[in-house]
Amino acid sequence: MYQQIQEQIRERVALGDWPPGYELPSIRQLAIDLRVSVITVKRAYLELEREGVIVTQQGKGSQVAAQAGLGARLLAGDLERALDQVAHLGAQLGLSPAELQNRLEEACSRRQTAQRKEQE
Amino acid sequence: MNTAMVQRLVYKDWYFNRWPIVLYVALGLLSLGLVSQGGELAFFAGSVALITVLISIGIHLTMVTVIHERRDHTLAFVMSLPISAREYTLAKLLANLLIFGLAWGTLAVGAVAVIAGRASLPDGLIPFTLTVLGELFAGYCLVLSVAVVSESLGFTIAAIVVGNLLVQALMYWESHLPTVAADLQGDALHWRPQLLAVLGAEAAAVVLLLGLTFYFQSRKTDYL
Amino acid sequence: MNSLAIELRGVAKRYRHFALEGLDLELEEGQILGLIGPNGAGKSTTLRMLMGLVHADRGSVRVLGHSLPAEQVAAKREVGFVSEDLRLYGAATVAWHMGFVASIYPGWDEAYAQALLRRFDLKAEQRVKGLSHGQRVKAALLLALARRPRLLLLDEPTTGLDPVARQEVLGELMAVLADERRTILFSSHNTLDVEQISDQITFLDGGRVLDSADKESFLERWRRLRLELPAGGSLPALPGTRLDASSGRLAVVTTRCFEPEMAEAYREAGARVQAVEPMSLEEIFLAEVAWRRQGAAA
Repeated sequence: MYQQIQEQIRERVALGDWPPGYELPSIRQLAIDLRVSVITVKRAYLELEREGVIVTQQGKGSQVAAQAGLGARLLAGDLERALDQVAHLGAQLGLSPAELQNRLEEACSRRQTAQRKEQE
Repeated sequence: MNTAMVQRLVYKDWYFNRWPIVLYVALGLLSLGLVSQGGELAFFAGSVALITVLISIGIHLTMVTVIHERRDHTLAFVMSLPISAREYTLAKLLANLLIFGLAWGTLAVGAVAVIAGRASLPDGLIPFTLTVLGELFAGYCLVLSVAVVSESLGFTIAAIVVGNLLVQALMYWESHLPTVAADLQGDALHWRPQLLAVLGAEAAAVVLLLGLTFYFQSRKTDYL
Repeated sequence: MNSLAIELRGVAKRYRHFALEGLDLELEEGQILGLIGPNGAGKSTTLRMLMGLVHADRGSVRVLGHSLPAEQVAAKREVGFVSEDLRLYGAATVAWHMGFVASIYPGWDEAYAQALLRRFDLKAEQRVKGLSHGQRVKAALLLALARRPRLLLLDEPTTGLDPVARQEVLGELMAVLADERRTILFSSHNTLDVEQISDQITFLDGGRVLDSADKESFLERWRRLRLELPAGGSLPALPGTRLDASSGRLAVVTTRCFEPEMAEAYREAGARVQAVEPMSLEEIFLAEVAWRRQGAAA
């Protein structure tokens, strides 16, 4: 359960919604807002701290870590995991690396087309 | 003792029963009016109606404040308030005795006043009337105690039946005592020893019943 | 360490067809405890003992530092109790009940009560007998919340509520916890509610505590492993682990004390670990009950 909250916060940081130094809501407040237990939020904060995404100071609450390129680093981590998944699925379907590469290029061009349409 | 809380509970029972009680008392006063008309039929009909009204008030109060409170699970609401089991019992008995006492007292005073005030009604009726009123009060205490302790509709109905039979038996017995039967026709007030014994027994029964109620309530370990 | 809002030690209560035995339960201030159990597990009896309404045969019951049932009046001044079988007076209005409760508790917060009235979409002048089940539950909850008790004891507060009302109620319960000194114990057979808002979880079945821990470690400890067995091979027996199903070479194993080394042990035994799946609270509870009942039968 805490993983979902951890993921949501990581995403906000990765996208720059919550910049370095940003004050996170207190554990209790976030729990009330999300209607989930305090212990779940506490656990999510603990994991985020372990990952270096946030810094918690005793009695002062938590802030987004003031690390250079934290957002980019998180996104890079996400990419790694997604690529691992791609490799895993590719292997299950019996696709060669070259074939996977083609599929990836197709996906990239699909995205470009979609973006262009959105802009119009 | 948590006096404020007991007061709140007594007030609550009064609040929920005030209109029915007013209605019953009005019916009781109408019965007394009938008695005061004079004539054997009016006297008989009026006194039967008065006894019926007094018994009904007792049944109504006991059912609403004790039996229904349990059946409707409002007892859990009351017991969730800051009150001990002993205070609950006290509040329940106080509320009932006060509300019933108010109606009973009004009608008892009315009955004595009607007998004393009407020339057509011999004043010798007064001691007899008081023993019957006392019996109705004691019978009500029996019903109330059984209801509070047993919390059961069946036992309560049994107590109602016993109470009514006792009233009938008492009236039959007293009116067949030669001295009392003669007194009923005259205007002189005679406090015959049998009648005084009855009044004493009624008072003792009330005290005993209330005492037993507290005793049995204190032995309970589950209040819901 | 925080002080304990609730402390049960070796509590026993015997009825003709049911017995609670050796019940130990602790709840720190500022937390939410979810008491999960099937019907007849002893949840209601436990809550009633915490209100002093049922006296334990043995053991000690303490609530907010008060010993029960002797000090129940002092305890109940600071406790809000809502139960499935606690009803309000049908002939009276919601407003009458509010006035009645307000006259008893000095801590009654009228502004909060009015806010709850709006949030729960209740009408003060409506008689209780005209309310739907959900509205009655919300009215009872309003009366308990607006006196701002330090401890809320809720017996099946969300049973029979529609999803909208359920979320309203859970939201208000969470809001209570903004004050760190306030505590909630609620029983439910709806594991979803408990999973959502509880910090602590206690499983009750047949009058006994099956397990009790903080929710995240509960969820962390339990895993379902899908294994592919080697031909003719067998699984090593690991502590706290049980074979749930096997067909051919596929096996499903649940464990109540998962460690990453466990997958390693199976691999060494020649099995292939296809998946290590987390379990929902409901699945965990069903597994706990099944284990206990099978253990009792064996």
